[in-house]
Amino acid sequence: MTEDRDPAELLREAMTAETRAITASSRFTDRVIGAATGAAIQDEPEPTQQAWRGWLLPSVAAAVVAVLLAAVLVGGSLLRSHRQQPSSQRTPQPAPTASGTPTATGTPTATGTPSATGTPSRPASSAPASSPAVVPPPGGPVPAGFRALDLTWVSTEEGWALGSAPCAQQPCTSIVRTTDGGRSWVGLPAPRAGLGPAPWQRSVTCTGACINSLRFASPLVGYAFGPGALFMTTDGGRTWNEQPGQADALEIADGSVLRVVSRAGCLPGCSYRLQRAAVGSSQWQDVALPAGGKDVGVQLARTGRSVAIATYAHTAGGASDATSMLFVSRDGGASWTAVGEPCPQAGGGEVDTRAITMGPDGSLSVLCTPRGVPRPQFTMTSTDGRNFVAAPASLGSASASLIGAASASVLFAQLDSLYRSTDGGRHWQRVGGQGPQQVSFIGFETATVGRALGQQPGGQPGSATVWTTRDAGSSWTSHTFG
Amino acid sequence: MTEVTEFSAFVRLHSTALLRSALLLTGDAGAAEDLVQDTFLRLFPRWSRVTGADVPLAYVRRSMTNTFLNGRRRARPEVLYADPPDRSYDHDLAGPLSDRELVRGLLADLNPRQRAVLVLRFFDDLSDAQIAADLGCRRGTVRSIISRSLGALRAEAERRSEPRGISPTNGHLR
Repeated sequence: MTEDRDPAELLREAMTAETRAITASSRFTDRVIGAATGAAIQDEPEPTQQAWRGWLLPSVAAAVVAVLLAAVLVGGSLLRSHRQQPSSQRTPQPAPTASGTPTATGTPTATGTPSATGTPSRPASSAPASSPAVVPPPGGPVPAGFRALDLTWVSTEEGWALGSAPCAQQPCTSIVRTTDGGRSWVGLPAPRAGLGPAPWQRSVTCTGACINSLRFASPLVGYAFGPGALFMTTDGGRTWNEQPGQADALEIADGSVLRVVSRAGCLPGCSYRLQRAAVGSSQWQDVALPAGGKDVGVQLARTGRSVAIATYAHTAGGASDATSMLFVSRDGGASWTAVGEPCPQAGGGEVDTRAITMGPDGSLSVLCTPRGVPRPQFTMTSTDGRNFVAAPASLGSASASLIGAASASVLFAQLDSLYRSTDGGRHWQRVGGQGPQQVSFIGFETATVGRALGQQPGGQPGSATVWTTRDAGSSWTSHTFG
Repeated sequence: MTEVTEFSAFVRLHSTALLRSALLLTGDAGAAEDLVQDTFLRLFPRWSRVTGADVPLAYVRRSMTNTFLNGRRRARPEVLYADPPDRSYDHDLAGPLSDRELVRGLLADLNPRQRAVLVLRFFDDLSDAQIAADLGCRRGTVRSIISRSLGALRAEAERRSEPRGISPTNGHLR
């Protein structure tokens, strides 16, 4: 720590670094769930247990007496039967035998044990642990010809892809899931909704119940959405329920879900509303932004509790004051700060924010594109969401569609090809033929593990290949759907 | 969604965030897991209160902090596991280790309430008023703790930045 460094900022960074490597394993969460739900049963009043204590000793004493009496009676009767009675009357009476045997069904031993099944005084409905644990569906084969449009991950191993596959009856929307980091996939049920235009096709309006994006908050709770519909699952994709409204963009941030909604088909400018709900809840509440956005596109980016919204200006021309607006939240979307247009407007023309991305380290990077004339593009990166550092304009002038970030240093941009920078956007290198091309999606779960989807030739939405890197984009492996 | 389903989804979703806060509070990975588990054990029987809160995660965090401060950890039978821990809490050697050691030392020297104030402020990003409400103290107390802690951190950093060498007076590294 240098002497002039802000100790508050040092505390924040050190605490984040100290805890970054920690994740709750499924074994830990399963243990917590099992312990809590089991503990709830034990914490309940146990009238049966109290009754058991009350009548156990007398019962045992009575049982002992009964056994002795039965032995005497049976012994005597056996003796007599051997001498006098027919065989049909030689059978011992069941009642004294059953009640007198400590291990028999319905005896004090069975009913008196708190963990025993069938305790009559505890209604099944009052035992939460008796509810079957909700587990994601096992999944089936991946539909032939599946093409992925969007990806979402809840860990480096568990992720889902939204796409479509040829089918006889529309809609052909499909969802697939991996639990081994993208090495293998299974097919899951999908919402009954058409696959809308890809998220990067901002100028295309969507009509009807169409979706184009997928986000999972946990292995059980997920959202499939688009400008025309919003569906939610709370059972890992086994069932999907349509929710009120739709979502132009949606992200999960620190236990909350944020969505941006607009009136569909409102070109050339939409008024956006930001709404927030707890994960798994259908109760959406409006969140006030410092200033309203009314533009032709919107993008949400988040990592942890940091969220950014960009409402995009008319990059192809139009009103000169139609600038992009950037809003930043550091508390999961509860409160927001208007950053304005982060791209500097110097250099003889307007410069628009074209795309934003957040790295797993919380850095926020912006792709700045000069409007109208072909001039080199550049990126700006901020580590606090407010103060941006501009990289030199060295990205080329070919139209850029998206950027991605593994960190504040390692950036990606899709122009005519995919480019990678390892120095915060100062220098860029084309990703070679062994990596993803024509990327329509790129995102990182950690500073090293990330995914990309390559757009199909001819601009058709969807990719047959999911690319995975585990070294921040130095090398890539691929999984191609059949 | 049933209560168990809601609870399970919440645990799976938020345990990582809570574990991280718990680690900073307790300073120990195992104690952090115990704290998170104990918090959920205490809250599950009244889970509707959690889901009815404005921000359920904030409710759970507040409960966890108070569980930590009050030391009201319920006695429970030791559960033994045959498997080793899932992970080691390794440290990122490439990171600014000296800063982390500095902060670790600062937190270790504080009492639990002071530590909680710093974690709530600088990790959970709560305001003075929110921290005071959560901990049941005055805002002035919160501000005082933060001010003193930042001062101590700055002083320690300055002390560390001094050139190391043999002290002519006592012959020890200073």
